[in-house]
Amino acid sequence: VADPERADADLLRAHAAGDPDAFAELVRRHQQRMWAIALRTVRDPDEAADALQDALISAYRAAGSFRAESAVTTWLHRIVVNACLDRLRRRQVRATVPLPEEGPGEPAETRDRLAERDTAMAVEAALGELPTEQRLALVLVDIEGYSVAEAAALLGVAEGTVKSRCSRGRARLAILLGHLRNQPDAGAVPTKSSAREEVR
Amino acid sequence: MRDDRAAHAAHPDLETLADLDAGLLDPATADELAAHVAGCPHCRAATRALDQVRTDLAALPPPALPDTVAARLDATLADLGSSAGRHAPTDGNAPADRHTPTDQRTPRGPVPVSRLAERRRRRERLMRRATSVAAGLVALAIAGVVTTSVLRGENGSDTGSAGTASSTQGDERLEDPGGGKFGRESERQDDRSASAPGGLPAYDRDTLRVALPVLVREATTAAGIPAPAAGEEDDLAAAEDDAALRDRCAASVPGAPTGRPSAFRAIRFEGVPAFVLVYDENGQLSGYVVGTECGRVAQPSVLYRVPA
Repeated sequence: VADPERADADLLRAHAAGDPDAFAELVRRHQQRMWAIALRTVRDPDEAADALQDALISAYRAAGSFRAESAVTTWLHRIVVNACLDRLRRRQVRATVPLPEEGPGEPAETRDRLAERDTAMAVEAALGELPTEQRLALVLVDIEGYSVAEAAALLGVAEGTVKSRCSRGRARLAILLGHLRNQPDAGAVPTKSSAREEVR
Repeated sequence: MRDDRAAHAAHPDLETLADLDAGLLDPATADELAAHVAGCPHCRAATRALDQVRTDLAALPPPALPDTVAARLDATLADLGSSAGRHAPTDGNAPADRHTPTDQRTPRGPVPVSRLAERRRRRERLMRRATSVAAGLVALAIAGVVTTSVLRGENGSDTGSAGTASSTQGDERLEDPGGGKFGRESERQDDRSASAPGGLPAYDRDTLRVALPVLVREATTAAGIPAPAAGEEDDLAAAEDDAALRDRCAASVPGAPTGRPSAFRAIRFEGVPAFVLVYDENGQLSGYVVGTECGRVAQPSVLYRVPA
């Protein structure tokens, strides 16, 4: 059993050196976030599962190339993002499949929790309306908490590109989520593609 | 209306405010705009709307990793681990083909990683063939003249326009530079065995959905159709008739209906050998594509599900 205190980089080095358990431990630590990124990028659970498996195999084989210039999580996420983008390019998956709802057997929810879940579902659905590049930038910066510089390095684009994608994505989400309506004073602020984008 | 237009002309648009927030504007423009926003309730409200977007995104709960996906990742890890010697991690400073030659090592059990690589490679190639089979399947199902011999005979023999188009697309996929960043060397090494065509009926997500009634019909009228199989596929075809294996498999598939499936078949799913279990619940057919380890392990990997 792997030592829970072992650092990610140590696990990766150990794997590269032949430790048979190190890589599995590393994946188990981070698979939830890897899944979140994959699912939010490709918007299809089956495609996300395929992409995650692709990423796992890639990371397993490329472990020796890790140079500790970034965190292991960043390195893993970059591989997941690349696997997702590969699948999107190759399969031309369209972001039309909504994220799955919670399954049966969930505990009864309070009204607040239901409201939170409704909000989360609305935000997830609105995210799905964005172009992949904008969505991915927001997933990394606003959801996963990467800095613009880190996200730019992870995506292999300029920082200004990440800023621009985030800016466009946030403006569109503000419209899609009706936040301008909820701020009555904001009605005077024009948008470049105003009312027709607003969702019911 | 005129007042609205005048008001709009007086304020920066939402995208410009978002650019200000993102730090995209040059310093002079940013200073000027910030001064305007500070004294403008409309623009402050729009800025709050943008802030709310950030808050919403930051508060999103992470989607739970489904048990089926977790099981699949575990299976992949086990596969990778059991063949670690044959496919060692690549050292970035070392030549990509520095793997120890496989013939200098003793094979240990199944060869999952090479099989995974093979699956991935076959998936790309057999997708083209699967599309051809799909065209045949759909036509036959509609005409109501599906016969098992035709099902087998069509496999890979269709050279119609749909198959040709699909083949072109498949070639483009294989050449996609984005797909070859890591670990392709070992897959190239395995290409020698790719020329052996599969004897199992091939499906993908679209064709499987259409073929569910056909699979059930086969199971009830011509159970145990011998496939022109070879090697591993002999075992898989034989496994179709193993009732105990079928029942163990059915009982272990997460989320599957209880009871015996209406059909249990060995197939190639997107190039990967697999079993498909088809359930008929009051005429509503659902399908579960599982790994060939199903029936032999407690929690098989679920490759795909066709909902009722």
